[in-house]
Amino acid sequence: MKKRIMSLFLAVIMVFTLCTCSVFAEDETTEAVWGGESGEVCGDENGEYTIGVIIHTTTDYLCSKLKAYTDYLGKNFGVKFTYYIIENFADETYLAGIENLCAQGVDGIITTNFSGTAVLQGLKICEENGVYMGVSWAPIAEEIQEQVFASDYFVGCSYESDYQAGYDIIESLIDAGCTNIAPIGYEPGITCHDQRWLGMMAAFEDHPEIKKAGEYRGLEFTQAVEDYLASDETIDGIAITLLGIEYCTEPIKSAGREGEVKIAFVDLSETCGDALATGDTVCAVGGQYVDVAFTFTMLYNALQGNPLEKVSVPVNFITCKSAEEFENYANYLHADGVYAWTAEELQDVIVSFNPDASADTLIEMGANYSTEDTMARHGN
Amino acid sequence: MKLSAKKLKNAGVVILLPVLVYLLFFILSGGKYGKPTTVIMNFKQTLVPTLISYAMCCNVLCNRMDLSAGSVVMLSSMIGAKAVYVYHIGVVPFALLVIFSGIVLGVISGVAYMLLKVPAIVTALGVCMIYETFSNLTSISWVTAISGDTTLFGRYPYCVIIFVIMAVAFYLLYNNTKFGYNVRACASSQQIAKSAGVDTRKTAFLCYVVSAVFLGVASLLRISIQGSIDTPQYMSSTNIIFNCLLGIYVGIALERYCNIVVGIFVGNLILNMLTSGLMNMGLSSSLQDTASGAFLLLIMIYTYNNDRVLDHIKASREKKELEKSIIA
Repeated sequence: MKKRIMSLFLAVIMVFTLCTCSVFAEDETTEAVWGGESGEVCGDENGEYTIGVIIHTTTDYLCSKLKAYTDYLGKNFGVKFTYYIIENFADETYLAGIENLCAQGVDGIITTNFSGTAVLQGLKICEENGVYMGVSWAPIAEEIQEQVFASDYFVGCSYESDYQAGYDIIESLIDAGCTNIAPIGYEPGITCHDQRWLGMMAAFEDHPEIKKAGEYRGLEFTQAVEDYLASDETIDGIAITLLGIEYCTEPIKSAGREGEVKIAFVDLSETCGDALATGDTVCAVGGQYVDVAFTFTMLYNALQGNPLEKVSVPVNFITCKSAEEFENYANYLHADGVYAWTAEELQDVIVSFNPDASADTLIEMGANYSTEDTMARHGN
Repeated sequence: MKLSAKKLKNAGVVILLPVLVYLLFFILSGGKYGKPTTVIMNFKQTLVPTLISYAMCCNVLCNRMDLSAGSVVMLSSMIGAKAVYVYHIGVVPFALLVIFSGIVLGVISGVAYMLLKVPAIVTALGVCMIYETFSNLTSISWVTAISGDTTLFGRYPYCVIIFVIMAVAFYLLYNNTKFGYNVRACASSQQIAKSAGVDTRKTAFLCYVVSAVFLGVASLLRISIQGSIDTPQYMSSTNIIFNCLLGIYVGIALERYCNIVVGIFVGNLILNMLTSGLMNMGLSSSLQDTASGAFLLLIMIYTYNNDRVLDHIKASREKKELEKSIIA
């Protein structure tokens, strides 16, 4: 009898756990896949080419838009996208992802946030499998640049000026009157976050009149905000290299410092408009989903046998310092069905549509990327 | 009378520790550290780690290291946060869901330990990995956030009320129930306890059940106070429990002066004061960890050895007096 009761109890618990996770794994708008799994697809299901995308999630504000953009591009250019979701940013995880996608028979791979010398190892796997590779959201490290660019299977990369973004968020806090600023960064190892951190530190060096409340680089961001606020009640600004509203709002409220501590950060989210309107957020930087358009274009040309000159494309960030700026970004760049460049516009940099297409145009596009530029092109 | 004096002296020692830490940082920071808001924040920050320490305490005393506790906290918080995000549930269903999830997940961990018959640390690591993966499946992004009224239980006075209820419950459970006596018997020696008629297997399972309840409530307080839950990666859920473990060890060290329930709270309070104090002095996060570790070691050395040192001083003094009297 005891055994039966125990078995029943265990069965109920098991069913509860599985149901909870399966119910929550998919929300109403997106299909969430995590933990080194592949199989999430979008674009043209019967497309001529298949491109694998290695990314950490497809469900947040930034990455869901990136996925939507690839879906749009795939449907317009006959490309199927297969997503490989990584659960961490370790080199081995990326390499396992590349191997997995190659084994699935993809024609090209876009890796996001993939950096360091492991890029060479990843490229070697691609070469062995005859698969092209492009890198998004990260530049190629200088020490391996020559080797990487020499590979027949590397198509190019695109990246944002994360250093400048880090510098800008500190400057915006200073402009907003903050004098004691707490910097918070992701733990060292991811190029984009490392660059943002360096930018923040450079801004502190350039403004010796501003007090740096301390340094935190790790993974316990909310805890760090709490610790900062507990340690020094004169802190009036928090600069964080990712998702500021999510990490800072409640700890600031909890400390009873609502309205007294301003935040600035990289990575936009749905709530940025309200936070900018109240003045609690003074600067939010993001809009980097468009990055994928560059690597896609380079890969697509290579797959069609018309590779462009291999380049590293610097892409602007979108910086929002007011609710209006964020509203414009949300309406003209991020809303459902709107993208920075339409498929027709991108034809201009695809050789099969435009024999004069060149990598210089890509660089120009990256340099011109802004809400104003998009509004001027699509405003009507 | 003598007993009251001893109790007062012991209470003084227990209170002295956080006061000393406070004074140390107050002086080192030139008065910048230690304003009332800082103390209130430190107190609030202590609530969740203390509850997690209570949750882990019985198992730790019985030499079972439940490393899955952090992942239970993260997954149950994540389930609650995701339910708020997807279904916009209210604060009460949210609270019940988080606590219930914590209890179920904690009990599963206990059942796994009982059934698998492998060392607790091995089972806990396996369970931790599984729960972290589930957390990843459930999460939205790097961080899953809640806000507004959903965080009600993280505000004063609710968080304190919940904490006090749980602390009193743990005190009664540990000091006034058969379960508490059995735990202490097992903590001294499992073999002797077994020979004396204690059902060690049942006690072990009950330890996990009690742990599950406290972890469920700790999850609710944690996400309500912090307003967000990170997606665990690289076994990051274990980070949550290491400070809590230190809190338990400080509590054990202080057991000769006060009840372990109070000692654990004091231990966690000291650890939080250390973190904010070191941060106030501008130390980077890595240096903070080093300084925290060293400082904690000093406290432990003092707590475990002060009697020996005092005895040694007393013995030397008596020896000198004896020598003097012999010479005279």
